[in-house]
Amino acid sequence: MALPTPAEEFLLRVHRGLGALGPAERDDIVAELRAHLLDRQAEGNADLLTGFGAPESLAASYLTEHSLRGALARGTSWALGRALWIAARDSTVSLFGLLPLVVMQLAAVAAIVTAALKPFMPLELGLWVGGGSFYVGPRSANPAIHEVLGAWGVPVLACSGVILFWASNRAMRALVRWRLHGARRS
Amino acid sequence: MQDDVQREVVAWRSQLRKGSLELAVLLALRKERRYGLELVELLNRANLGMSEGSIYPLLSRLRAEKKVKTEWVDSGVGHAHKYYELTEKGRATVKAMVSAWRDFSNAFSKLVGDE
Repeated sequence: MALPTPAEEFLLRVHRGLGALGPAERDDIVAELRAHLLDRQAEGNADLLTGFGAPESLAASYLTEHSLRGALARGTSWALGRALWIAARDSTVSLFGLLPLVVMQLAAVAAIVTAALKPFMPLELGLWVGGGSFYVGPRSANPAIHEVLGAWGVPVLACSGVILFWASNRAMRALVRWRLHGARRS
Repeated sequence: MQDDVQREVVAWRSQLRKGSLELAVLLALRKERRYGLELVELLNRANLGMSEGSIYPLLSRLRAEKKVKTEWVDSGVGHAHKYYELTEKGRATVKAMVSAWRDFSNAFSKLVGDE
């Protein structure tokens, strides 16, 4: 039995909204919704879509839950950040929480890479201060800056990078857990 | 003022419903397996007012948490139905949630009784 055009359009938009899921899971969800709509139609219901809300919101309900839960299971910063980015569609708090954590992660990676390369380029890499600048990485053209860590650069930058990476990853996990509880309450 | 109170109570009831949706769905599956529309109709007959947009994502989560398992069954009406059935973990969850619900309900009954 065929569904009316608005119902087919609804299913198409849900399917499109579930793009982040694997094809099998996406098809499974849409097949279940289709069965529901066909049953409603067989009961003689005129308005099949009442109770579902907007197709994009419905897809987001599946996706947010799925991505947050999956990210917690994987635990990588990439997965956590991606899940928070998806959740940020309906929670600006997630977005504002995510941005500083992404900056911390990038700073941590910069510190670790700098520490790893510093033995090969001791005068070109380090922690640079002066002329209003304070950063980790390669020397810039600014003549007012100078490197402050010297030989201590490798252990200090490596340790601080690892600690910063770990701490920001833990904070992302906490934010994902908080968002997951929020998604279940809403 | 009466309108404000009514609005607050409506919002509060909605929060109560959302908070207890998981328990309601698990209870509905306690005795037999059911598919989505059956669950929606059962919960609405119980005046719990659950929408399709809430129940289907919840069922997906319960499956991911291994509290329910699913099976597509040919219903003989031209399309199959996806049936949900409690797993051992789901049964343990219902038991623990019902116990917590009873404690909570008893505590409130005492408070309401004192009023």
